[in-house]
Formats: sequence, C-alpha cells, structure tokens
Amino acid sequence: MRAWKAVLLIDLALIIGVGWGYAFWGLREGRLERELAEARAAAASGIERQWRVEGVVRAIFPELGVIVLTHGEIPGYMPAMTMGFRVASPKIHEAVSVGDAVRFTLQGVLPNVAVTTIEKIK
Amino acid sequence: MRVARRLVPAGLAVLALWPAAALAHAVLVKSVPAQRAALVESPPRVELWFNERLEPAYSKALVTNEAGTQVDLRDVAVSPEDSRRLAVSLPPLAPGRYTVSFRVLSVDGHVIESKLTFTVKDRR
Amino acid sequence: MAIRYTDRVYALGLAARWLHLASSVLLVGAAAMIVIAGRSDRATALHWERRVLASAWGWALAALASGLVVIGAQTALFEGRAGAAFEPRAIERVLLETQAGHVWLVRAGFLAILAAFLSLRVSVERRADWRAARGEAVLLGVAALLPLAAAGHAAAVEPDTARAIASDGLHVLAAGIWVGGLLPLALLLKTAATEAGADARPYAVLAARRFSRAALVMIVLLAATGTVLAIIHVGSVAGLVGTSYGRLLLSKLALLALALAFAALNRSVLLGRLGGDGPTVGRPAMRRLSSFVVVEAILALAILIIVAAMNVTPPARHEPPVWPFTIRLSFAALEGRADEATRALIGSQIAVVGLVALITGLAMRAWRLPLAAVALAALGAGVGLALPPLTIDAYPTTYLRPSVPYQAGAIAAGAVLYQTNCAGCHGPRGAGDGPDGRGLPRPPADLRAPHTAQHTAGDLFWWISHGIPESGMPGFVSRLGEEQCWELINYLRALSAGYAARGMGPTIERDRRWLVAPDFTFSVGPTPPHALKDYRGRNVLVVLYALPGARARMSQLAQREGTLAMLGVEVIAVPINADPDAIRRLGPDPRVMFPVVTEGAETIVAAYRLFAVAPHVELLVDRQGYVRAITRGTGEATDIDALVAQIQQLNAEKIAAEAAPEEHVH
Repeated sequence: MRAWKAVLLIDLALIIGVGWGYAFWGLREGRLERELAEARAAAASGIERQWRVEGVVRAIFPELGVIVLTHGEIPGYMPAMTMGFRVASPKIHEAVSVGDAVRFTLQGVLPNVAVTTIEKIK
Repeated sequence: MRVARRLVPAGLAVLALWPAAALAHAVLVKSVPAQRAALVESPPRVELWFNERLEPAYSKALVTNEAGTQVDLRDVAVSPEDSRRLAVSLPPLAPGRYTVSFRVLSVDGHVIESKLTFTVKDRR
Repeated sequence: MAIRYTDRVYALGLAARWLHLASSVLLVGAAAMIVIAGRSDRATALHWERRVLASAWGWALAALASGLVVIGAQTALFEGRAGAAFEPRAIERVLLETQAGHVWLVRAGFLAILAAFLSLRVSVERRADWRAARGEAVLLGVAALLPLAAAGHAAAVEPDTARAIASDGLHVLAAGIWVGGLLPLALLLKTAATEAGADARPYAVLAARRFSRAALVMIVLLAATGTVLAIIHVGSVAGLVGTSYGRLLLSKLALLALALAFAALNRSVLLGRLGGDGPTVGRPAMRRLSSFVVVEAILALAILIIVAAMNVTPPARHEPPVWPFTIRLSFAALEGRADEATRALIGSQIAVVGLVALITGLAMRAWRLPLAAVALAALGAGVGLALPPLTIDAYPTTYLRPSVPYQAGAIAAGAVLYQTNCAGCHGPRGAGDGPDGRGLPRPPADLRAPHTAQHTAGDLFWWISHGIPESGMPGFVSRLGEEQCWELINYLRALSAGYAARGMGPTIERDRRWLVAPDFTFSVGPTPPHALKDYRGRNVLVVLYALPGARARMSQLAQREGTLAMLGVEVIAVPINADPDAIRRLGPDPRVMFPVVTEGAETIVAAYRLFAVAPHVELLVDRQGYVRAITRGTGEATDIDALVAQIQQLNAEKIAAEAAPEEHVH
C-alpha cells in the first residue's frame, strides 16, 4: 500500500473517532443538563411544595397577617435572608414572639406561599 | 526464571506503594463548621472547600462521634457546581465532639488525608 | 546503613515514571529528527533512518509498558491500598472516572496506534509518501506526549488552568524535540565518521546544522515556558530555596546549565569544523561532536529523572518553605534609616555602572580584559555597599505561611494565650512593661510598635517557639502547639494593627486601605452561619453596641436601614455583652431587620475591641474588606447624613485591581 493512503486512512479514523467521542460526550452532557433544567422547572411550577425551615422571629404584623423571619436557605426558592411571610391563619403567630428561634413550615404554589405551622425551638 | 517469576510481582507490589510519599497536595481552604468550632445548633451539613478541583470518585468525608460511630447521612458528594467543594449532610446531632475525616484526590493525581473537629454545645 | 523500605519503594516508582517520561520524549525526538534531517537516498542514511524508526517503535512499546506500571501505582494511591494495583476493577475505575485515567487512556491509545503504524510496511519511495509517513509518526508521537500536561500539576492550577496546561504542553514538546533528537543525531554523526559511512557525510553535516537551529528554537521555548511554570508552581525565592520542589528545580537548572554549555560548545566550535572534509578536519570533529552530543543527551536524560521526581512532589506554592539562610534581604530594613537607605542607593548605582561596563566590555573586542576587570570590581563594590543595609535576620520559619487564618476566632483564642503566657513580661497590653520582664538581659519588646512590619509572621513563629536566648525570652514550643502559636501571632498582629488604628476616626481617607477587617462567622438564631467575607462587594457597618445606652442609635439605624441598604451597606449588629437573647432585648419597636448576632458575638467583640474601645463602636468596612472609618461613641443617635456622606465617598472609589486582603498574617 502507498504510505500516504495509509496515513490518510489513519488520520480519517482518528478524526472520526475523536469527533464521534466528543459529540457523544458533548451531546450526552447537554442532554443531561437540559433534563435537569426541565426537571427543575417542572418542580418549580404549578406544584404545591413544602419546606421546613429554621429561623428567628424579627417582627410580627398581626393586622397584616405577616411575620418577618430571618431564615436559613429555602432550597429552590430563596437563599438565607430576612423576609416577611404571609401566615395561613391568624392563630399561627400567636404562639411566638420577637426574638424566638423557631422552626416553621412554608407551604404553597410558588410564589403564593404561606407559613402554615411554626413552633419555638426550645 | 523461577526467581524472576517471584520477583516481578514483588517488585510491582513495592511499586504500588511508592506514591504514598507524595501526600498532602490539595489543601483545605475553609470548612463549615470551622476547625474546632463550638456550635449551639447542630449543623445541617459539613462543607469542605479545597484549593484544587477534586475527583468525585475518590473524594470522601465522614463524620464520627466521640465513640467513633459514623453519624453522617452517607451522602458525601463533590458539588456539581463547584468541584472544589465537598459536602456531607448530618442528622440533628446530640451535644458532643465530632470528627470530620476526609480523604480527597485532586485532579493532578495527589491525595490528601486529614481531619478536623467541631463541638455541638449543650444548650443551657 | 540499610536503605529504608520506603526509600526503595520511592526509587522504584520514580524509575517507572522516568522510564515512561523518557521513552515518550525520546519517541517524539526520534520521529522529529528524521523529519528535521530530511530525505536522503544514500545507503548509510537510509540505514540510519531505519534504525531510528526501529528505536522509535521500541520507545513506544517501552512507554506503553512503563505506563502500565504507572497507572497501577496510581490506582494503589487513589484507592489507598497497595493491592489495588493488581485489581482490574480498581484500575478500570481509575481509568474511567478520573482525569488522570482519561489522559492515560488517550495517551495509551495514541502510543498503540503509533506502534502499530511504525510496524506497518509501507513504501516510501516517493517524496509524498515519505513525508506523509514520517510526518504521521511525529504527529502521533506528539499526540501521545502532549496530554501529559493535563494530568500533571498544571491541571490543578487555578485560575488560568488552560494557560498552565498549555505552557506545560509546550514545555514537554520542546523538551521532546531537543532531548529526543540528540541520540539519533549522535548515531548519524558516528556512522558518517566511519570509513564505510562516507556517502552520508554531507547528509550528516546538513542534519547537524538543521537540528542545531531547531534545538535553539526549542531551548528558547523551554526557557520561556519553564519561566511561566516556575512562576506558577514556585512563585517565590523562599519556595525555590526552601522546599523540595524548589530544590529539585534548582538542581534541574544546574544540570540544564551544564547541558547547555555542551550544546553551546557543540554549536559554536564543533559544528563549524564539520564543513571541511578529509581525515584531519571533518571526521575527527564529527566523531568528537558525536560523543559530545551523547554527553548532552545523558545530561538531558538525567534532567528527566528530576522532572519525574518533581511530578510526584507537591509544588512549592503548597509547601511550607524552610529558609536555609540566617539573613534575608528586604527594603523594610531601610524604614526610618535614611543614612542606610542612601548607602544602599549609592551602592546599587555603582553596581549598575559596573554591570553596564561589563556588558560593554564583553561586546567590544579591544580593551576587553581591562574593562571587564574594572567592571567586575565596580559590580562587587556596589553590591558589597548596597546589600548589608538591606539584610535582616532570618530563621528557618521566616517564610512559613500561617496555618491559621486571620480571623476573629483565632485572635480571641490568641488573646487568652497571650494573657497566660506572655503578659507577665510583655505587659497586659503588650507595651513591654510586665513585672516579670524587669530583670531580663534585654527589656521585653513593645509589641504594639509598628516595627512588626520588618518581621514576617514566620519570624514571630520562630521567636515564640524557640525563644530569643540572648534577651532572656524562653521558647514555648513545648507549651504551645503549632496552631496555638499561630493564634498568638494573629492576636499580635491585631494588637499592633489596633494600636495603629487609634488614629482612625469617623472620616475615611480616600484610597487608603491598610486596616484589614479580621473575618468572622456569626449566626442569627438557628440559621446557618455567615461570614463577614460573604459580604465582599458590599460595604459593611459592624456595630458593637450595648443596651440600654445604644438604644437611640440602634432605633435610628433600624429606621434608616432602607437608606443604608440602597447605598450598598449591610449592618451587622454585635451585642458587646454577647447576649444570646439580643433580638428579644431590642424589642419589636422599631423593627430591627439587619442581622443581630446571637452566636459568635464574644469572639467578634474580643477581636474588634482591639481596634477601638468605647461604649458604642461602629466600624465601616469597605467592599474589599478593609476597615476605613471607626466611630467611637456612647450610642446616642447622631446625624446619619454624616455616615451617608462617608459611604458615598467609599462608593465613589474605584475598586483597586489589587487582590482583596490576605486571609493570613504576613
């Protein structure tokens, strides 16, 4: 066989091999990422979700039905911050006062979520 | 020939051991909880940050109590967003002293093995 | 004395790595040398070409075989068990799941293809065929060599991983073409110098000239990429002379200098003599060049041993350097000593004149010797005059980096250690006025003084652990662990910085950042801890307050929090009495929404009180983490517009390109 033909064949095989490998991995990676994003979007929309979060009571507005909490991360919703939340019923915040360390349940379809239970930690 | 047959596996076995001399490569940059931290609340997880990217398949951490029992939730993983971060979740911990032992492999093929401790304080 | 077991193991492992590296490099060089020499139809040249190709094939097999040993050893390391080196499952996992494994697979693939290609019997009668076949061998060899860079130290460099890998790749490639080409060249010269090889003599001369040109380019490339890599992996003089990696690099450079001396001799003297033919000029020169090239190759292969060792040695940047000298040079020595500074300045100018004279002398033909002598004398005198004022005592730990970061927790722990171990002599406030220090040969140092700028954290570490015998200071190495020493040093830095911070008032000084805000972590109730560092990019007002005195100010801050937030300021309130019930104490009205520290307040107060002592303290930390203004008061409500004006000034500053403050003492 002529050498340049052999070299051409080898190079072609290498290019196809490397290209196919790259495309395969690249495509797979891309597909996985897309699926992950879709799953996240599905999880975030239309479905009622619930979180158990810990925090501190910073203020209570009985007349507005709002309680302000410094809280830890709420996965998939918001990072740790100080934030006002609607309470599901006026009774809920009666058990706690400003400065209490609390564990609370946040429930609802984003972005309409409310505190449904709240209890003091010790 | 017989000697050679015995020598080759022995030589290979010896070879297999040598890189142990090259430990301590990636460096722990930061941890939450910090080394020797005394916490009032049981931490939800232990997170370790290194100065080099880690190989997920060979990077492990486990949390043990004073008795040496593993207490973490056995879900240790390198973060997919930041491959320099290793995290493991914890159940609510009783007050006491805990040890985080880790052994990680950085992408340049070096292993680091170390541990750190933190304490969960009794709440008055 | 018996060699220790681990040493033998280390040596064997090193041998495998070296063999792998050397065969990969020689392979590329052999293939490249054929292309550099070019095509010839002389019998001797063809015979040489066949031998070189056969050797390349051999190197490919050697690289594959030693590669197996290397990957086995890596598996054992990754798995943490010696036995794993022989388990196909374990090796498979390394190959498929780690970057080193992927790189190994790619390289082994190229090596196997190359070996197969070299054993193909193809006709290279025509020029196009010859070019294709020989070019392909080089290409495959380079493809097998280059990925090495992606599995070495360069792969873990951050940021600029790509730059590091590219430099490393170019470095090994240049080394491959230079080092690997030497042995085939020597063979060609030796064959051509014999009686029977006379037909290939012009070809050999041409090949030697072409290789010499190519090698020169490669050596320049090696020097450039090597410099980049040294800066990346070593980065400091202390790292170069004080770590195993740095010392390996130094020995590599020494060997390289020797190899380059031979290369220069070969190029400048022997290469020129090849031209003349005949038994007296051309052939002896050719034989001598051949043996000198072999010496150059042996030196280069010895360098590869060091390279293999460097591959398994942590880069100097990650290692604590041990300073081998008792002095070091620093401009800090001139601080406040004008006459010494003048002397150093004059000395340096004389040295520069000497250097210029030396270069001129070397460039000129006439007057060379006397000029060089005068120049050397001036250079020596200048250096002798300039250097002594710049010297500072140094210790093995001088360039040691603290293992404990500059954080409030460490400072607070150091403060406790200070009171029990140091206050007796150095005084409760560090003024050097402790009662136990009176009878000592030298009075204890005033630790608040700014002279700490002359001393590195490593100097302090040495004094604390080993003492200063001539002044009567004992060593504390037995009483304090390493970590405690560093905590103490962090405290001393904060103490000295705090002393300097006495002059800092409520108005900021434009673009003057010098007081690093020690990082701290804090929690608000049961929420996970935050760190001051998380707020980089925002301004932070750290408020150390005490009720009831500061109630008015806290109410004011609470009411104006919206304004402050809009200006990019976060408020962190720290109760001086570290009350875990602080939020309740502040009460519901007005609502305090900014973080009130309920966990971690003690350490924050302990550290930040070193900067300012008052019933109510506010520290304004800028976006880069420097304290820029300190307000000391009693907690009354004051004009908030004054604060706003300061913040606006901070926001108007350009964020300097310089890095954020180091987390460690220097």
